[in-house]
Amino acid sequence: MVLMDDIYLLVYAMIAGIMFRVILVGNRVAREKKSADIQTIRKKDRRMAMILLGALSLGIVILVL
Amino acid sequence: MYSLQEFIPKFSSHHWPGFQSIGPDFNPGTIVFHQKIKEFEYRIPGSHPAYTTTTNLPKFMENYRLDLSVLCLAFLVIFQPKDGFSQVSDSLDGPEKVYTGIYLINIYDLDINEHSFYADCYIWFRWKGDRDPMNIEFVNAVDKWGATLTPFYEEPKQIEDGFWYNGMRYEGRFYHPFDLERFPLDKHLIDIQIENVDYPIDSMVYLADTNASFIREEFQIPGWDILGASSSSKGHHYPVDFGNVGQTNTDYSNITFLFSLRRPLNYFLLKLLLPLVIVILASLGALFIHPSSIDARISLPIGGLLSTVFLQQS
Repeated sequence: MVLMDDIYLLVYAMIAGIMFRVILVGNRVAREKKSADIQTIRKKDRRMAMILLGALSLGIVILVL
Repeated sequence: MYSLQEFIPKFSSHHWPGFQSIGPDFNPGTIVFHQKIKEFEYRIPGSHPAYTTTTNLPKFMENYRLDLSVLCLAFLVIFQPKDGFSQVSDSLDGPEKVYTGIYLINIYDLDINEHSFYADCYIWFRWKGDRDPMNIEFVNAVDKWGATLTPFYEEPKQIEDGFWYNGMRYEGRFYHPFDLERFPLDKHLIDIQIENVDYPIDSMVYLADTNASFIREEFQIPGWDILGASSSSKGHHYPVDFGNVGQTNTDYSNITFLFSLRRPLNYFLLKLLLPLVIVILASLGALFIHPSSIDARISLPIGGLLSTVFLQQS
């Protein structure tokens, strides 16, 4: 495992997180249909995206340093 | 010259008060300050005269040589070289001192997979004494059948100050284990190691000549940044008698020329990280699409995953 492989590992983890979130939200929207609180879900999605991006950037910086 | 015992009381109190805290039981061995201190020697207590550590002082520091010498001494006291692989230098008597330098003309065929590289260089020797240092072995040379060695002169030439001088142009392949753990931000210290075939360390010691390592000015290796060159002299202990029963001395003086290389940062940023960042952002885009568009949302991270696998394999 070289440094670049570690970075790829972080990216795989991030993509897995995105897919997990998308499936979870998709199921919820399908289940609740019109009663689903779309605005809250979208807000949480954006927050999740920021968290994932921040965690990935931090991980890469730690690995590189 | 001063012995350390003479030196400490004279200078320690006002130059480095903490020095006295070493204590009375400290056995300092032998320390030599030349009249105009350009270098500083320290010999390990009870060791062979050749096991001496030398610190060369840069020219601009000569005005501060006294303070710096005390600092060097402190450093050496704390980090004494270990037995068997110690620094060596021109000791007071015994071994013939051979000042050695290198001028690197080319490094090519840097083969990370084969852990080797080709080097083309001039190597010179300057010495006083009867022993000819030209019969050398390149410790990390491989494929020796393909190497070429052309001496400067058939016989050593006498130069100023009673020194003998000779050298060679050598071109050949060398082994270096490239550590790729930090790829693509890896740095490498590739080395060329020289030892004498005939004379052990108690007969001959190779020392770095003043400004011993040079690299040709226009020299470059495509895909690599050259950071610089240096040299180090040490004793190389062979823990075997090579089947020669009764042979006790298996220490040879070893001089190593080191060339520091690293991959350019742009290679990492533009070629490896930039495509990955784009793939990451595209994948994250899934979280900004309306939750009801499940097909579009799921296809983005899947595309990102495939792209990442492809990038890693390429």
